[in-house]
Amino acid sequence: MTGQTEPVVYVVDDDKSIRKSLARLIGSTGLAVETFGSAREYLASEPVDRPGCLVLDLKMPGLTGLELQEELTARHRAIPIIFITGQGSISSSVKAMKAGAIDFLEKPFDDTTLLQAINQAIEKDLQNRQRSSEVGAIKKRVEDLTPREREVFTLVVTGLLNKQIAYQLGITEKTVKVHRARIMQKMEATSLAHLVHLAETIELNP
Amino acid sequence: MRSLMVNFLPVRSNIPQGNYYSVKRLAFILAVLFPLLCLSAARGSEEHPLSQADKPIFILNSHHYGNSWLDTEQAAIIDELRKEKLAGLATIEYMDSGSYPDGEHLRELEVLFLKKYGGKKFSLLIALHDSALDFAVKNHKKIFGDAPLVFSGQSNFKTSMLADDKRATGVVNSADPAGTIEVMLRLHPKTGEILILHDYTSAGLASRQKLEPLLAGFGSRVRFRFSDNLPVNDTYQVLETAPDDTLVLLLDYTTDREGKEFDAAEITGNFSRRSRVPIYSYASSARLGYGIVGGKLVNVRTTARETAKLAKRIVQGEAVEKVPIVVINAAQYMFDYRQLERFQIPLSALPLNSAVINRPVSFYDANRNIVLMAWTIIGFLLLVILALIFIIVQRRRLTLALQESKAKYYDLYENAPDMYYSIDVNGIITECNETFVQVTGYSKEEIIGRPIFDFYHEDSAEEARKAFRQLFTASGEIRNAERKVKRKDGSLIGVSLNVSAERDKEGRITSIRSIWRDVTERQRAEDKIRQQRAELSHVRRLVTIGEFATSIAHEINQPLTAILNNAQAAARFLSFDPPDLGELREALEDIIEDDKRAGAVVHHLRSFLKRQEFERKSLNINNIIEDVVTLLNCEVADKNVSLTLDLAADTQAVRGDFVELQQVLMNLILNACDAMTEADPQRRRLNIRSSADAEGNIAVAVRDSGTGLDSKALSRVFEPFFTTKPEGLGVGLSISKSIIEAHEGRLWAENNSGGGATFYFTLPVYREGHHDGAN
Repeated sequence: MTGQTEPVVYVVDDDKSIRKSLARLIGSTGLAVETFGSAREYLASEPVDRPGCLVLDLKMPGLTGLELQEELTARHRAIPIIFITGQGSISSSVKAMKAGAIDFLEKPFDDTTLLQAINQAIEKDLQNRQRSSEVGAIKKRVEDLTPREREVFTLVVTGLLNKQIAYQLGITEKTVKVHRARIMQKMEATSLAHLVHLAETIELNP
Repeated sequence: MRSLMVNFLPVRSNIPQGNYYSVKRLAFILAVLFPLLCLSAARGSEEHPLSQADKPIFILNSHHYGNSWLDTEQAAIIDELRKEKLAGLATIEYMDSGSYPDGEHLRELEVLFLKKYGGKKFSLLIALHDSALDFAVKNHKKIFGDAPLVFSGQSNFKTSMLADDKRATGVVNSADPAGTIEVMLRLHPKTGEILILHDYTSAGLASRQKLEPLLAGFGSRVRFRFSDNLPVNDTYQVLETAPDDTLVLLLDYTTDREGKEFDAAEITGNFSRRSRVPIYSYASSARLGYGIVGGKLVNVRTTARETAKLAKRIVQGEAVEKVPIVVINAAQYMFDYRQLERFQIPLSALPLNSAVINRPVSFYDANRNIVLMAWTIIGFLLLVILALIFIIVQRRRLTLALQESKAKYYDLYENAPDMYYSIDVNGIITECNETFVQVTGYSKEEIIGRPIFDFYHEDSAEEARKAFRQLFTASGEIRNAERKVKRKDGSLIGVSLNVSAERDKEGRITSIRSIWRDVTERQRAEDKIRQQRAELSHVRRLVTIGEFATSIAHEINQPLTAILNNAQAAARFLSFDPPDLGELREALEDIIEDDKRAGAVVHHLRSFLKRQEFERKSLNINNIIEDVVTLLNCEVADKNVSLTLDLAADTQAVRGDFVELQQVLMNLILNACDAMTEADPQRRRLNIRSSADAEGNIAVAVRDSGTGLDSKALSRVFEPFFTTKPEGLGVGLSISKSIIEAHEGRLWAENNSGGGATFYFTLPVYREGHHDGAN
């Protein structure tokens, strides 16, 4: 979490006038803007640890907007996307939204609509980032658990009683209790409910 | 006293005349009819050169010339001598001893012969019968010197008769009297008596004496009676009155009691004629044929042959002393057919190997060669006839086949669907078929003799001439060349031309055979296809226009978006405190750029649209409707739309561009179909109606049973880019409207009272001289 906190808007459009005008419009609100002439150009850029969003033209020569969206997901470079398009078909917009797009704007669009969408996207990105840092911290705590503790942890958060856990693992209930106390301590959990929340946050799978 | 010189040279007259001519005729026939046979039938008439007999042969005959018996024997001997090729002149002397049996005569002959022949040289002396032998032996040395003596015809020979003459030999006939009597009894089993008829001369009595001892051998089987010494007439009477069971055996008989002398043949004939009963004999066969039935006889010919053989041996140098006397035992059963018939003796009763003379010869036997030849000829001719018949039948069959094939060919040639003709090396038509006449409309007289180039249309004539000239330098063939041909009525037909040249042995073209196939229909069909293809390309152009519009929309939308973005940004810069004028200016500059860019796109579009040519022609709207309906038939059917046409029969022509009006109709029809996609397939009805409206314009109504148009759509449907269809661009109707308006007509839409919508358009009627409206 050492990146800049100043958000940035990436504009990807093959049409230079659109690119330029969008940069101007977005820039007029004080947001930082970076423009790319093609999806590949954007993919080639170094990922920056900074909140932001992507204003992406749907129809471009080479890699299209939708393809770029897929590619970013595949590379774990998730960033909120606002699609813009000349003439959007229903099928493509549905596809984009399903893949997590913030909005789907048809050119020409109103500045407020765009700027709202951008704000919303940046907000979303901030949330995502915060969440992912939380997850990182919890995961780190889980790593401190011994393998037996991790087993017990997994069973505890599924709602099993101590004696059930003991039976399942073939240990005494008393030992389970000891493990539980150590887990609570290591995970910095205040209650069982808190422990379950932590497990859900990291999407722990039994 | 008769002497005769006989030339032994073979003479032709020996061959019977008739026979000779037959042979000659036959040869002629052979020569004419089949030389092959003639070759094989060549007669061996080879004549050997005569052997060199320096000395003649002397023949001494006991009797006179005219004594049939001896004449026969003598002739046979001469004949046989000739066969043996003993040549030279034979001297014959007749002793006439029958007429002059006394010693006086013999002495006179002795004197005479000595006088005539004493000192003459003879190669051989032949003595015929007793008197001659007796005389020759007595006077051998004296008259004939050392000429060897050969006797012949002796039947009563005794060695004493030669009186030890060493230079004598001869042939003795050994008759068979017993055999003769046997055969007589066999042929006439009921015989009671045999009358032995002889004269009472020494010869006659000698023959009786010789016979008598044999008779005892027959014992009681038959009685024998010797004839009395009677005058000949009495003997005749005896014969005339002879009882039925009597047979006569005739021995030597030359003289009757009264000294009347008879020739053996003559007396035999006389006896036979008078006799009631058969007469047999056993001596020489010379008597056969003159009246005797036959007997076991000594064949004169055999005697003569043996005599000649002996003569030859001696003449060729064999010492006569060493040549033994030949005794002929081969007495032979010989009969006279006429007598057998007279006494009804069947041939089958005769002993085996009997010779029968005077047997009536069949034509075949008489003319065996001719008959064989004739049969051969007939057989050959039959073969020839069969062969000819076969050939004729074959020929007829061929002729029929030829006729049939000719008829077929004629039919094929004349009635072929193609035009056949031949031209000469100058291009003049020499023949043509009926199809040529039918298609071109000229009569055959008008066609034959004219140059082929006259029949071509001007467009093809030059090409035809060129191709014709090339025929002589190139392959001599033209394949599937297309030409235009002018018919008599002036109309044109398209023909496909095939040409092949006929050449002589030197390879020079002699005539040219050509085929015209009428391809007018095919060309028409091809034209139609070509036209339809052109029409389809227009349709495709429409589709292209749709795609073009899409891209135009994008092209305009982009600068519009940029302009909006810039304008909004500019507004923001203005609201800054202080306003950011620098940014504002830049934004405005970009706005100008983007606007220009949009203008360029519009300009480009306009110039593109301008390129579409505008044609004004007199058109029948019904044709256009039918045409479009044909083009869209599949599409309409695909959408389960039932289409009905309701076209005014007497619509006047409109003025306009066929393709553009087609596009309008196509648009309306496809729109109508689209409007009905939601409707029940049973109720998808499309009607196209043409009529004249109140103002005299032509009106067309395209009526569907679809969803109809809501009020908003009804007012905006002709606006560009207005569409009710999810995939529609909204250009079809606006373009259609502009087309109709360019045609000075009107296009509008109305909802039907019963559901669905109707699109109407009107077009002004075409008027002559109204061409300036085109733009």
